Amino acid sequence: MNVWNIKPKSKVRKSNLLFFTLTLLGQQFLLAQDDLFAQIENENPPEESLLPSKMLVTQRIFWGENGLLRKTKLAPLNKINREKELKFRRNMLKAHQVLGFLTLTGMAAQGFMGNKLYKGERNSYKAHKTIGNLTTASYFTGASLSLFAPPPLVSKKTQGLSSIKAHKWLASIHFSAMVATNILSEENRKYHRAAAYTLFASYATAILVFKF
Amino acid sequence: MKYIFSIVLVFQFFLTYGQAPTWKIVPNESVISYKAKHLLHAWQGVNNNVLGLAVVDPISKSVNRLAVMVYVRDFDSNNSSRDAHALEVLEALQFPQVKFYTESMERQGEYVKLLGTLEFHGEKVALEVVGLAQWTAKKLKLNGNFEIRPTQFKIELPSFMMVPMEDELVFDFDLTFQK
Repeated sequence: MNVWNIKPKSKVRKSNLLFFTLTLLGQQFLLAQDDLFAQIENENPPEESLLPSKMLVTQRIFWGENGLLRKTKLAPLNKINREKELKFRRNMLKAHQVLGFLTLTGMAAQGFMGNKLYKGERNSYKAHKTIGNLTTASYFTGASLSLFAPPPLVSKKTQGLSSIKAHKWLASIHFSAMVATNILSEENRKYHRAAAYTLFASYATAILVFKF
Repeated sequence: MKYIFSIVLVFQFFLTYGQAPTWKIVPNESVISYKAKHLLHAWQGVNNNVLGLAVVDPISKSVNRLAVMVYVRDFDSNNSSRDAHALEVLEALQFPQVKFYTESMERQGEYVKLLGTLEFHGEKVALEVVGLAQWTAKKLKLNGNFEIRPTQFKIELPSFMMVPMEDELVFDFDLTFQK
């Protein structure tokens, strides 16, 4: 008889049974804990990108992955900072809206006074100039709030004409018209008026077409 | 000894894999959309990337557990500015998903009533959804709609021209689960 073939059978059985029972219990526990959502998320992990694939040049300079605010470590790119940036962006765009209406009011007043000037009523010249400066300041402040706001989380490409596309196209028209109106104010009154009308029309339309 | 091992393994196998089958949502056959209103206009956003699982019993035509999830980033209203704004309002970095989960489904003919929980903006709210269920051997189609109030989920209503949007979102869903 070979003594080396003798195995303590009962001990093997007990330890193996204990092992399998524990495995079984563990697995059942995991199954009970198992969440269908965990399975879904494992197969479809969330999009982790913090910055949109495309953004305005003005935004990229400051807020891009290698933007000034990132490099100087004033606003390192991470989830917590991006949450704060998005709140900041919301406030900037709200202010952009409010200043937009103020600027439009200023432009309407300028049109009214400008017409008086063209009719020879020179006493409104000073007021026209003051309101003009204020409107210009309000216009460029409003534009800056939009151009330099932190970028959104995503930037989707929309098909066809959309209100935001029209708003942006009209912005390039009224921006040029605003610059021209100011440059031509002393040089050529006829063209100054034409530029001012273009400015008002494109600016008012840009506000009207915008939908949120 | 081998005999006991075999029994335990078979038992374990059935416990693990012998449960009611889990059916998966077919992404290109499933869609969830929302409708929203503002004083000045109404709009719609569509999500074509619907994810979900349903533990079903195709014989008794019942759903034991159902989980549906969408990422808020995937809603498209054909206005990039609006969608970006929505993600800011919904704090998408903190709460990236909208989830619906139920373990209760009541059948009345082809109609089903799902009593579950909707998790949106990090808030869980009980929700009753009535829909139409169409069963085939390998597919389950569920469609219907439900309404929610964003403020119930502590969502700050976005404003335009100083006027907030209406506190109502109507969701339509058209889901296909496949074996």
